[in-house]
Formats: sequence, C-alpha cells, structure tokens
Amino acid sequence: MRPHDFGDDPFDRVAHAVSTTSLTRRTLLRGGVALGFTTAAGALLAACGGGGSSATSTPAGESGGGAPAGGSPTATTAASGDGAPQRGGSITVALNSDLTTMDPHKSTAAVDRQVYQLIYDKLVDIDAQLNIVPYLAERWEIADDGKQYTFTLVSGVTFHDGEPLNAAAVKANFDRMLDPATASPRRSEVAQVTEVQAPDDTTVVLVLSQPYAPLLATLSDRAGMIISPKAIQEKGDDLAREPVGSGAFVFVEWVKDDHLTVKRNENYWQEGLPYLDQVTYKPVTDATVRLTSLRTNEVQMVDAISAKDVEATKNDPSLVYSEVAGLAFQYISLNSSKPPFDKKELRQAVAWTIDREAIINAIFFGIGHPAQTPIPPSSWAYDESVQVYHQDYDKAKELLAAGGAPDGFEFTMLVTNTPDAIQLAEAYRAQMAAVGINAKLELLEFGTLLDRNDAGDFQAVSLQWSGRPDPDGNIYNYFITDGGLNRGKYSNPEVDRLLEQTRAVADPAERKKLYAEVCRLIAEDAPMIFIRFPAEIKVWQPVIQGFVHVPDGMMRLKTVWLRQ
Amino acid sequence: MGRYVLRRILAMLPVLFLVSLIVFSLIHLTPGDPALTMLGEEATPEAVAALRAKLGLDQPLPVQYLRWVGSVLQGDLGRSIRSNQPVSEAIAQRLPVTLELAFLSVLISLVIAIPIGIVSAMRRNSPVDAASTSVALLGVSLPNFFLAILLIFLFSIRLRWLPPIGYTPLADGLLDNLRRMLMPSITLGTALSAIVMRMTRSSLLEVLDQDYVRTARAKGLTELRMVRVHALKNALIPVATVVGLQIGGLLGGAIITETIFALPGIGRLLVDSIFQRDFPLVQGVVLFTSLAFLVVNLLVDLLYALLDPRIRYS
Repeated sequence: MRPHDFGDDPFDRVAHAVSTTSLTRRTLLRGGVALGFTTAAGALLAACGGGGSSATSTPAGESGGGAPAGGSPTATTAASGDGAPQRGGSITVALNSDLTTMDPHKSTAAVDRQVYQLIYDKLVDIDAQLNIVPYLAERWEIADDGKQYTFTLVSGVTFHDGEPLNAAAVKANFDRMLDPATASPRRSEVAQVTEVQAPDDTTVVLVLSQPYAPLLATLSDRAGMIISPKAIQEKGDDLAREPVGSGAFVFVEWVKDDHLTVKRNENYWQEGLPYLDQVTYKPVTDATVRLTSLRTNEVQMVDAISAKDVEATKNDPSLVYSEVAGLAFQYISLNSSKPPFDKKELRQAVAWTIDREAIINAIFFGIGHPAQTPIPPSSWAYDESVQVYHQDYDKAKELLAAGGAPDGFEFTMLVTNTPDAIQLAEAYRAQMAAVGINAKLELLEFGTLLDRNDAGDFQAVSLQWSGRPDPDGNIYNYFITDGGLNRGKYSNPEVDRLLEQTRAVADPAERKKLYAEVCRLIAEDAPMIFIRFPAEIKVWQPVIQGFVHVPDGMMRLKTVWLRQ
Repeated sequence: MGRYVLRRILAMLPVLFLVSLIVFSLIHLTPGDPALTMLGEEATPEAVAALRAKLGLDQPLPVQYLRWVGSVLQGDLGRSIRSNQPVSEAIAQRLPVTLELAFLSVLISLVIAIPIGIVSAMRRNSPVDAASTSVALLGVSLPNFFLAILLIFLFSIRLRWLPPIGYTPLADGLLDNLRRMLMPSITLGTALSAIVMRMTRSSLLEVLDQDYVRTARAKGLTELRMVRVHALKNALIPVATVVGLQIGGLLGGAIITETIFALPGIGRLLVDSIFQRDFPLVQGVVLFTSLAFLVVNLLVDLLYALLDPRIRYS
C-alpha cells in the first residue's frame, strides 16, 4: 500500500467517515439484529463509538443501544443470507483512479491492490477483524525466538499459465523482491528476511535477522502475493501489463484509463469459487460522476465516495451503503529538527489549539473519529484510554509563553493543492490563529510536496497515511530515530526502545500495552498531531451479495455473487 | 503545391526540435522525482538510488536528452516507466477516442453555428440576432465541467437515456459508441459553436458590405442565393482558421471533459503521466500533440485555396 494513496486522489479518500460500524439499513436490520451485538469486535468498536460518531448512526444503528450491530463484517456477510450463492454474471466496479502497474513487486498505489486481490493469491490474508487467516499457507509455525517462520503451502495450486505454485515459486518471488536490481518497494517491507528455504514442495522457511511481529500482516498484502516464476523469467518488466498469478480471476485486458477486465479462473483451487464470470474495473476520477454511474447502474460497486454524498447515499433505498473503521489517519507533521518546532512547547501549543470534533463536523459532515494516536479503532491495538489533547487555548498560551513566544509565532505548512486538503488546512489555520499562531499555507502539487517532505524541507506538513493492518505499519517508521518515514527527525530513546519491543514481542495483549505506552510518549512530544481516523466506505447495488467489508478497503470479490 | 507542402513540412522540424527541448527541460526541472513518486514513502535511499539507476535518471541531463532524441529519430518514443507500455502504443490506443471526440464536437458546432451565424448576419440587430448572440455568450461562458454535470443530471439521472461514463470502441457497435460520445461531444461542441457562430456572423457581415455583393444585389439575386453563392464561401476563410485552431487544440485532448465522462483520451493520458512523473510518456504525448497541431494548421492553410481560388501556393 502506498503511503498517501498517490495517484488515487488522496483527498477523495480523506473525505470519508469513520464512526465504527456498517450503517446500512439493509445490512444492519437484517444481519446485525440477527447476529447480535456481542462479538468481541462489536464491543471494541462500540467502545470507541461514543462522542463524535454517534451523530452518524442510522436509526437502526442506534437501536443497538450503543453497540451498533456488532461490527460490520458479520453484518455484511449476513447480507448474503438471501439463499445459496449463485454462480454466473458480471459486474463493473468503479475505482477512483486507474492502476499504475499490475506487478505487485513494483506497485506503490493503493488502487493497484484492488485488482491484485482477484488475480493473485497471498500467503496469508486478514479477515474483517484484522486477524491473520490462512490462504496459500494453510498453516505456519513461528520459532520461539521469533526468527524463523515455517509455512505449509496448500498443494495442487497452479498459476494461470499452468505452472505449479510450490515452495520454489514462493522462493523465486522473495528472491525477486529482495534483489536490489529489482528496485522493489517490497524490499524494505521484508528487509528482515535473510534467507528463504524450500526444503520440499509445500514447505517454505523464512529466516529473519531479528524478530519481526508484523511479518504476517505484511504478507497479507503485496509482499505475500505470488507471481508465476515462469512469467517473472519470461516477461520481466512486462509483468506490469501482463500479470500472471494464481488467483480466482484471470487477467483479460487492460486499456489504460478505460477499463481492466478479469474473468473467472475455471481451475481455481478453492472449490466452487469464484461465483462471478467476469469483473470489469473502470477508473472514474470524478467522485460525483462515480456515484452517478452507480445510481444509474452503469457500475454496481464503488470504492470511496465524497463525505458530502454520504448522507444522501445512506438514505437512498436503491443502494447499499457500508462503512467500517478504516486503517488510515490524518495528521499534521511538525519538523522537530527546525525552528520553530525544535521547541517541544511550541509543538504542544499547536496541538492544544485543534478542535477535532469541530473539524469532523464542519468539514467531514460529522463523519469521522477523532484521533489521538496513529493506531485506528479498527486495530486490536487501539486504546481508547489514550486521550491527550483537546482544544484548550489557555494551555496553548501557557505553552507559548514557556516556549518563548508568548504572542504566538509564524510557520509555513505544506498542503496538497486539492480543494478538500486546502479546506482542511484552512480550518487548522483558523483554530491556531486564536492564540496568535499564524500558519501560512504553501500549496503544492502532490509530487512536489512528496519531494519536499522526503528532503525534510518543511516546518509542517498536512497529510494522510493510508494505514496498514498491523499497527507497526502506522507507527514504527514514523517515530523511530532515523525511521524511513520520520521526515521531521524526531528522536526519543525511550520511544525507540519501546518500538523495538513491539516488534520483538509476539503476544498481541502485550503489544497492545506497549503501543499504548509509546503512543502516550509520542503524544507528549507532539512531533505529529493526529487529527482524524477516516472511515472505510463502500457502496453497491443491492444485487451484489456476499461481499465482506474488510477495514483495509480491498474488494475481495471472489465470494461475491449476484441475486438473480 | 507539392513544393509548398514539402517546404512547410521541413519547417516543422525546427519547431518540433524546440518542442522536444522545452518539454524535456520542463519535465526534468519540475520538482518531483519519478523514482520517489514511484516508490512513494516506501522509498528508502538505496531503493531510490537503485530505481534511478534502472531508469537511467542518474545520467547527466544532456546525456538523457540525447538518448531520448536519438531513439525518437529512429521512430522509438520509448516506454512508460510505470506500465512499461510503448509510448507510441499508448498514444495509438487513445487516438481513436480523441479523434472521434474532436470530429463529433466540431460537427455539432458547425451544424449549430453556421446556420445561426448566417441568419444573425442577414437579420442584423433583429430579435433573432440578439437571441443568438445571447445564447453564444452563454455558450462561451458556461464552463465545460458545469455543462457536463448538467447534461449528466438531465440525460443520465432524470431521463435515464444515456450512460454517464465510459467509452465503447466503434468496432463494438456504432449505436453504443454514439450514446456514450453524445454528451461529451455536446459539452465540447457547445463552447465551440458559440465561437464559430460569432465568427461566421462578423465575417459574413464584413463580406456583405463589399462592392461585389452590392453588384450581385443590383442584379436582383435573392438575399439567400446571394449569400449562398457569393458571400458565404469568402466569409468562411476566417471561420476555417478558427475551427482549425480549435481542432488542433482538441487533438491535444479535452482533459476536463474526458475526466468527467471517463473517456480514455489523449488529455487524460497526458495529465496522468505528468502527475506520475512518467517522463517518456509526457515527452511522447507532448511531441505528438505538437505535431498534430502543426499538421492541422497546414491542412487549414491548404483548405484556404479550396475556399478561395485566388489563393495559390507555390
């Protein structure tokens, strides 16, 4: 997944909501009520559901008495309960931008992954509660020291070109990712892997240089997708246009900016799947037109709609609206290595000026969850008790005085030049201005902004991170000293120590405690101000059944079928 | 004539050379490293360095430029650094869409604009003239995206007559193709027709003041026949110039219209490649659209000779 969803209209996605559960009347009434409200996920989601998000609950949601519908996944799955799944039919799905490449080892755009879900199989997957579940690997063992992973592969899987998917194929994929000549963005994701062994056809052993708890979550994304080794050999760079995987659908054609078509894999190894004969993706960059083409049934499913359209969409009985807590967070990054934000007090002063609820209500139409940390409510590591900042101008003024700028100060904030991003930055600016902090907005095209950000050439930046299933992907590289995403050169030895521990410890409960602790420290230092957790939204035509809405927003369509 | 055309074609070469130099310099001087945008924030310094080396971006700019121009001269526009698709193939894929869109919108504009322009000129200062002038003003000032959304609202959402997005190749069915091209063509054609209408009117008015027209009138020709036989042909020369320039522009793609109606035309290809810093693609598309513009201009100049026999090229 690529950081700021470049090429996929980052601020379109920003415009989404958070709250906590699926709010479709259809899914809620049918699935939610039927399945009860007591799943673990439901409890967790409900816990973070209070406050800001309640305004967005539909009547059905509120009827759950504060525990709306027990987590969408179950609810959504239940929507398929209209009888047995039926085979056949084709659907068209609107994406918010075109793909950049079909090669998972080269991809950096989030939108690419939507199509990969169909064409490629992964070693493991995540479910709607972000648990790791078996996929190509039917089971795995992790050595006690956390430095060796042994996967047992499903046997009898073949690629679309007829080649067998075995341990040697998996090894060939890791070799390609890890080869510096490939220049793969995956390389840093699996950097801990020092050796890949394939002792027999169905056994793959990954040897790590150090324990790395997020590894399995990483392998549920592009790093775990297995390409046909024969295609790697023969096609090379042309894999970008001619993908060969082992997934439930086979690539047919891609006419850039027009459509991308995949068809049913008749020899798919999972019995009975997929149900659909064909899926066509259409890139429709304009959010209004995207929704219109859904309403007119030109497409049957859309990825992402504008916040302004959420209310109308929810109330449209001819559409199914689904919303789950996502993985992303929106932030303001403050450069700790440069004045004025080399002074901790001034960073904290800015943090105390922001009213998250007001921003969510005014700019995101009331949908969204205020953020205090980079770990979103969808994660098992989310801790509601970490509450550090709210808007308090008196505190901000005290800190300004302590930081040697009692009358405020001026700084420049880099902002992407899209209307939504500018509107958000204007809101920040207005809230900061109340205590004399004058934020000058510098509007930049996204590529240029990335350049400046990468070079550390900024005082402050307003951005969004698209998020990872494992909390590590939302925090480690941002805050570890000299981390790959730590553009503001933040450094705190205690934070470093705790972050290393979160990778070494395998037990989720213990990791969660460590994350809460490190999140408090980071909030206190305020190298970054966390604003909002956007929600994950999908909208589809009621004819679509069996869709499981996972917080990563990926449309896994092999279980989807059409109600005739 | 043949020598004239040859001379004009030779004159294009320095222009194209300059265009190549300008587009290469601009895109390479624009902030935003393709390696960085490709890797996103997953970019570690060594990954960026490796990718830059792979793409040849670590070479000095003059070397990169000469390499590119060298391969262009051999007919190779290079490959997209994202999808590895040959640039010429990417352009060829988009060209039918852009050509059809340009053709249809010009057709629509001419069908609307020429008759109205003639009537306005003949009934100068009449209510008809005033009405058509107002409509033309509205057409020029109405932004494309707004008109496009209005059309979608009316024809797709309210009436459900036309699909809001997408493109069907001509080969897959003329009717479906036209159903999808209609709204985009109207969107572009409306703005164009306003310009053409005003140009037809003023140019015809000028011609109607000429001596030979007075002579023709004196011979007792009806006003309509006089316009048709004598005046219109001469009045169309400036109109042809304007339409030619517009076609040249349309071949560069109609970015906003293509985006709203999700048409895979040249304009979106260019914009996407700029945002992705896909240097070979940007360079190839700009070079191609410049060439298209020059060719259309040449054709318009040749058309003058057809409209006015006094114009001779040698």
